[in-house]
Amino acid sequence: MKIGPFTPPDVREAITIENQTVYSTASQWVPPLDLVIAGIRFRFKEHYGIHPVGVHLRQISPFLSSAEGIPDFEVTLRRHMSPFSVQEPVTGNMFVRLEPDNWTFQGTAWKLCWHQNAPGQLDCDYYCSITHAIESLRLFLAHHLLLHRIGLLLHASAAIYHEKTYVFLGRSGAGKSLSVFHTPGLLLADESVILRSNDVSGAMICGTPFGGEHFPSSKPGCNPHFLFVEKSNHNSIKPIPVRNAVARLLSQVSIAPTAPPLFWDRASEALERVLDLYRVEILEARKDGSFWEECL
Amino acid sequence: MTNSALEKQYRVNPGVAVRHIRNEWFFINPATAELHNLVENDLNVWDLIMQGWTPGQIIKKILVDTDGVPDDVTRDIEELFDRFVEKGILRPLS
Repeated sequence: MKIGPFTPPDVREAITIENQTVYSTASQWVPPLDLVIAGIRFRFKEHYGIHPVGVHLRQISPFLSSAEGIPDFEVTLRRHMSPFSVQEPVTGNMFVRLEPDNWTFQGTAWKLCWHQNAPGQLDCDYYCSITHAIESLRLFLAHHLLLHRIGLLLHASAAIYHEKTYVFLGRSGAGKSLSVFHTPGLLLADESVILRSNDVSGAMICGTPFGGEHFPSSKPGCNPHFLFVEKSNHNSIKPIPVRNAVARLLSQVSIAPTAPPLFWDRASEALERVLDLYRVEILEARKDGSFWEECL
Repeated sequence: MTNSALEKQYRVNPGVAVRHIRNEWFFINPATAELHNLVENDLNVWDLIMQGWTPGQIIKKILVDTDGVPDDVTRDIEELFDRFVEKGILRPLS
């Protein structure tokens, strides 16, 4: 959970205190933890670390599940008391290697590895807070969804309102968080959402526990409507030329710049479906959130 | 483009993702972080390129099928191939 303009003062204070505590607390035995994100079950195996509490626990609690059934991925965790140095950072101080038989993702606070010889296992080294281990799933999940043609992870916010799911996209500072902050409906997430393909009912939009300033929800939303947010002094919805729509959607897909062409092909395939099946438009919005009543 | 270049065949760079969306071809080149597009027309030039037609063959076909001005058609097709080669989308077959 990040601190931003929409973080209430009490939450801001709690995050600061919790962050100070977690970095100075010795490891304890943490029981297994099941997280279900967009229908994919991750089982964090028991290990010596810090159980999430307070704001961190509240952020992931919609995704916590009882340990029933077979997980899609079992995650072996190791807590480290110092951050990692990233060799050959590709972008954003992260290293990503996607080989056909093994994947590695590394940031300064986590390292996640997957090997084809144990396809249901993930190895995760994380720095101090288990929230870093959860964060490490973001890029893995993004590429897993693409490779298996089951979805996309988008840098976007989303909210369910009147049986529709509004997905707000745009560059940083465009107003994605602000848009869902004002929703009269249910906020799903304000940083990362998953577009999950579903043969029966069409695409579903799912919240994630990754980042954001608002507490997310795990409830899936149907009937997506994609809106590129642009700040304005009036509220209106405008069409967008297909070329711009492809370019702007692609820029919001979570995918490593170094990903092999197969992943880019999968991403473009998913965007083709989005443009065929759903409305993709520009939302010119006043920052008071009045567009919810005037336009949606 | 030289006469010999006009008779070369080209193929898509395997590092580029190609996708047809709503009557436009899109080319994603992760190596250069660029997205290019080609609006489809009745001549389906991209289909001809994919079938291994050379620039010279495509120019001849367009001149047979349309009332285009030879110099203009030649220039347009040469520019298209030059641009796609420069952007790393097409590679000449050796």
